Amino acid sequence: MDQLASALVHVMTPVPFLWLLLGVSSGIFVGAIPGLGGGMLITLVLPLTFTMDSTNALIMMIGMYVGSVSGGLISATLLRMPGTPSSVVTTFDGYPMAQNGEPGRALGLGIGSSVIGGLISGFFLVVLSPPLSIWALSFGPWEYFTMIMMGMILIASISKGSMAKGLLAGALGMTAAMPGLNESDGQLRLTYGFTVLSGGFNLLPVLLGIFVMSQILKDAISIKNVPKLMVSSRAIFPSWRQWAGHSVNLIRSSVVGTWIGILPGVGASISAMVAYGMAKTFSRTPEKFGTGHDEGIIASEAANNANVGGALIPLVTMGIPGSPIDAILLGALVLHQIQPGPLLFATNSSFVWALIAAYLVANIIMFVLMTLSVKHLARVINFNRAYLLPAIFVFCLVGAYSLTNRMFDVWVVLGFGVVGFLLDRAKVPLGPFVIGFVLAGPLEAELRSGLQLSQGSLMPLLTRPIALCFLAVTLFTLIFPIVSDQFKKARKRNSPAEETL
Amino acid sequence: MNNAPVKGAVVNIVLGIGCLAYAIFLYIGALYVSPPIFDPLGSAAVPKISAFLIALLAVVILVTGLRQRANPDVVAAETTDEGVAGDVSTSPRYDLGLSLLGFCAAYVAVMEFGVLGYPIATTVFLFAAGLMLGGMSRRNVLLSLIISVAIGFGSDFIFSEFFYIQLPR
Repeated sequence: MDQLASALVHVMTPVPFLWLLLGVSSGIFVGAIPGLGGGMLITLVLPLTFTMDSTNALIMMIGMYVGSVSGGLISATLLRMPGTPSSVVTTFDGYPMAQNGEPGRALGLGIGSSVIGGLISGFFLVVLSPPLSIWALSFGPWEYFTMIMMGMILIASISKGSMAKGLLAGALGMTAAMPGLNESDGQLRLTYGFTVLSGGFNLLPVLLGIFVMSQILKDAISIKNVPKLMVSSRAIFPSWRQWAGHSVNLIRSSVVGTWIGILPGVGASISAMVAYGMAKTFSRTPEKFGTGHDEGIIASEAANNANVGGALIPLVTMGIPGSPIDAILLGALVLHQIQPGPLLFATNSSFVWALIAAYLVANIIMFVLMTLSVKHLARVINFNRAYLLPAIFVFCLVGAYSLTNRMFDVWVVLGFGVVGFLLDRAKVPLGPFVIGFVLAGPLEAELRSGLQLSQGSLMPLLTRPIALCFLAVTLFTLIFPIVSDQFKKARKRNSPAEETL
Repeated sequence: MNNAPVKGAVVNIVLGIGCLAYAIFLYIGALYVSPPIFDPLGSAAVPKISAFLIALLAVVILVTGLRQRANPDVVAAETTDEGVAGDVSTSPRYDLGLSLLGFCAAYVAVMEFGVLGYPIATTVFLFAAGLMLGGMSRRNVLLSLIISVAIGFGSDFIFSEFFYIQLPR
């Protein structure tokens, strides 16, 4: 508790606080623009943070993460265009409420639920992180190998679209990390005679290409004007009594969001869907869902913000990203020479506590900023993409070029941008690609270390209980959807026959 | 008539073939990696396993695509569930995307080959791309010009003076 208190004091000092404020406000701004997300913003800003103090840089990125998830509710509510995928469920009730003449109230419910969801997951982040990191210290190479594999398979199999495409994206991402010098034995591989590939693909250009360049191309092909909408400056928040009436829904959705966030790969959009479904199940008025109902907005926004805190738990305790944005944050830690993993808590606890404190304060800042500026933020969605998209590419170029002063990295951005765009058109999710790219190195290194220790035997996978447990979850994640799909198909085939009988 | 399932099927077939070709390319690359010296696995094993996995998944997607093409009506609902049907509500402007990509490549190339330095190349790129995406109205020409000059020279000053990034000259 003392460490958290001193971290909170540190975050509230002028310099870190200003970076956090900048992070949250830019996150809200970008999150409010449909198509642009937190991942894109953090990746773009990453090279500019190289000269910054690492703690301040990560504090700012945490602010961007929180701000972008929250900002997504603005366009979701006013235009039925979710600013971020996590706000998709908010459109179900936010948009109808706005259309019924209450856009301010819809936004107020969303903002209030976001801050409560964020703070509840912050509580779990504070309580669960230290014991989890101590537990993770007992892990050996086999535990790490199976845990990373479990994370990757979960991310790939539960991500949007078909399971095969999710797994394919993860495998493709892994192969993108393979060319160049292998760290385990210093051997060159997959360079195909090109010396420029000896160093492999750097993380930042790949992230910029997959997340930012592909989005630029995607937005360019669907560039269009969005209708102008205004929000009145009247009081937007429901009364305390109304909030109290929603307390069960708020707490339940926040806990659901946090729990789903902890599971690697099950993103904020899924947590919002699950929370929404549960709110509807337990509601006294389920028929009102989808027509502009308070409970729907509360469930969705509390869960998607709580997901951010939940996803930070495996990141800070074990160095395993819970979402694609967490994978970028993991990359940011590495680029700032900070080794993520359970040892981070032991060797650099003040840094970890600063991140946790930043997360808590970012939620408060987000609430204040969005409440004060919601009327003006609604105008952000009218921003002209014709000027925005080329400018974003300029920042991509500077970011990639600044890494090693080579134009090759800029070409990598363009190349992976095209790859990302094509994969996206083929409905292959990009999140698993990035996570595969980030985790391929540690996955291979842990497997090789484990095999060296066991003289080439795979038996430790079965003899070490934690590793076996992770392996079982991995296999279950792989097999369950296939079996369940077969059952559904069999039931579908049988049902017409039953009807005729 | 809704041609989304057929479109989704073609996308899956192309994706499957493309990934299969990539898997073969990857496997061939892994064959040239030297055998292991220090550890039982070696540097070629993971690329080979990955190539095998990609090939397997590519075959699954290819077969799905072929099945969808053969039976578009039967699998229409299924393809929508899997998200392969594609968004048919808007007609994408691929010409704009391709043009923007061309502009980006030309912008990078002129700096790579020393034809133009960062501030001028950026100004020209932003102006041209702004006109291409926003149209040729008088208002857009004026706004594009202001924005391109401001970002082109402004960002050069900020990046070089404050962030110490040596941009191409």
